Amino acid sequence: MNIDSITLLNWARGSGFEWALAIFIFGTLYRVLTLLMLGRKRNLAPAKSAETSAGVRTVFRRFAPAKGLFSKAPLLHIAGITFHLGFFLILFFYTPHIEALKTVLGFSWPALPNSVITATTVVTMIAMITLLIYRITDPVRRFISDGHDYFIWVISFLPLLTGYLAFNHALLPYTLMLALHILSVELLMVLLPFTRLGHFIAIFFARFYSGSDIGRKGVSS
Amino acid sequence: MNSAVKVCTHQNAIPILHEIKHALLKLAENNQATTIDLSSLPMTSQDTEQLLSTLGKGEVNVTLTSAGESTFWETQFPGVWVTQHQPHFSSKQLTYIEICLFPSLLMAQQADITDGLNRLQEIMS
Amino acid sequence: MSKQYTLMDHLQGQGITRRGFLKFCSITATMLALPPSLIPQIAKALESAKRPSVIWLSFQECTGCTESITRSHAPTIESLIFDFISLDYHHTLQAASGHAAEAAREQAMKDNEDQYILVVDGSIPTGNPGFSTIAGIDNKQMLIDTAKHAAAIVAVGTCATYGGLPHADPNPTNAVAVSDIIKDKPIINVPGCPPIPIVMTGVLAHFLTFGTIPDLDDLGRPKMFYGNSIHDRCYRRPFYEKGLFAETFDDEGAKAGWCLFKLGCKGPTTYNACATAKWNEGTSFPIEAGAPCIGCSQPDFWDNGGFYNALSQPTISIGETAAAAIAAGAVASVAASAIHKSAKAKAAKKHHTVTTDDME
Ligand code: SF4
Repeated sequence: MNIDSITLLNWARGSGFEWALAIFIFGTLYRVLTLLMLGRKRNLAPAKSAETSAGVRTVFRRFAPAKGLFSKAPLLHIAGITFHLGFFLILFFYTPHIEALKTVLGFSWPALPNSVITATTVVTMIAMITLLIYRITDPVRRFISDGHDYFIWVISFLPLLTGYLAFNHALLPYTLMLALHILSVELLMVLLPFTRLGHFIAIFFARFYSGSDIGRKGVSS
Repeated sequence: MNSAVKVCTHQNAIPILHEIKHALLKLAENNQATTIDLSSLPMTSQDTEQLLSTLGKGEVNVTLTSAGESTFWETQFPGVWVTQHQPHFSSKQLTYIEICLFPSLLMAQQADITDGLNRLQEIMS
Repeated sequence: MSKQYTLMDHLQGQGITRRGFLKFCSITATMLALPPSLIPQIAKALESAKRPSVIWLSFQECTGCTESITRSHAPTIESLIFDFISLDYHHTLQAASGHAAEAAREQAMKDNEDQYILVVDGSIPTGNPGFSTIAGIDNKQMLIDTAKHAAAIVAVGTCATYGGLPHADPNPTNAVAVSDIIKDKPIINVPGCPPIPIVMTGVLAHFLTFGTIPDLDDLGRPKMFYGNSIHDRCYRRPFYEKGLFAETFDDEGAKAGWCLFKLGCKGPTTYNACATAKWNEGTSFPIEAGAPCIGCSQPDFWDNGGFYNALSQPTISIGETAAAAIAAGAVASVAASAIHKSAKAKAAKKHHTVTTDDME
């Protein structure tokens, strides 16, 4: 049997999603548990102030960019924040996405209007392209970038692009575009825990550890 | 005429009125006829009703009884005709808007004329 | 060979004039979803059109397709049978049965060799041939025999086109579509569960008029009827664009006619003529009646994860998968940590404490 777009879509919504979800859960759990089980060396020095609260504080405080850094590269910061925020809004507040998440989580929440989501998608893609251009043109960033960085840029960009095209019924027939969109998300789910994109979860540990470390030393984070 | 258009508020009737306007312009300028087949358009029955009531009725009314009954009438806009077929093989009425001097289906056909001529001669002989 | 009985002969026999014939042509244009500007061409084609012989085979089906076509209103089923085609075998509609019926089929096949149209509804079981037989002949054999000298095949309904309900998971009879068995004949797929009556008759009228296969899409469906998705022609589309969705079948949104996407509408991925041709003599179509499109003209629509689940929802049950993944993740990470710890311990054991004495 030749694969037509509806069969592809059905696979993406069925077995494809099942595998992607399983790998995503497995991978994320693996990363988190191994990270926790690594343990930390006991610090024998007496704590100068509470470390846990300092760690928690740092997790949240680092969402805001450091003042000095921001003024040095404002565009980079704005594009970075826009991309992360935009991706979050699109993922969690577009009606069809909420419907999908409802199946996994069992509950739902109100959506943002479609017009807001479409606009956010455009802005998010522009932010990502800005970041890519910056990465390529800035000599230092280019030096510290390798194939891995460009690869994860592509796999993060694809869901946005295919989703936008599908919503607008552009380029390819809707059924095929929708199938490609879901597949691109599944690719992202599979690779998320195992690439540098793993920071989606690891960043909270990193922040907590460094926050509690310096908190313990009495430095306010 | 503006008020008549305002009466017709349903979404699908408006673009068809525009189409009729353009077709009428073509008829006036180049004597070019147009037929719009309403059954091929995504219209609800309210759409059709509103469109027909906006077009209204003019001064010509014709009935054709061949292969089922058909009615033709000129609307209040001369040159815009409504044709409704009740085909002998169908239970649903089909509605067309014709923009022309006179619906061509009503004109006598060569074959029918010859046929009639024969019959007339037969009677007279 | 005697001169074939043409449509013109037939209409003239009914006393229909040339004018009446031209009227017939304009109505045919509507049926074929062709623009009125093509009427002269249709008239020319119909002048010499011969009513094709049609053999209709029913395999694993529910007779819904036949029920549907008998509700055709343009043309009516009577007119279809008498004006447009010569229906030589259809075991539900014909008076004869048993051996007499089979004899009629064989006669029609012989008289119209390589000329007749074969219409098939129902899927074909490829498991045990005894799963479905007619007059002692199993479905697959009858299809192969009858298709051999057909000019073309019209697969009617989702069972004949893509396997349909019998093919749905777990497919106990190993049911397949006509196109899975017949590879060397033109096949026109007219899916739907059932197909729209005037789409079925329209395809046959196209045959009568032009004697050719209409333009088909990648799933073998005539583009003139399956060229647009339901969503493309849906009058609720403005609500979809705005993101206004009915949440239940009786909330304010449902009453206001909002989009049915969240209630499982498959309109965006379903290609059919429901939104324009409509059902019940042009009365309405499911979405107009407040029911989401179930996507019945698409392959495997039964297995798409529930008619009332949104198109963006996964079609599998998550629980077991998630539990298995969690278990596997936990085991793998404990194992990895154990390996890591023992490596660390070994390394520590090998470690010699270096004192200043050693350095001297
Ligand atoms: S009701 Fe269905 S076909 Fe209509 S706009 Fe909504 S999703 Fe599309």
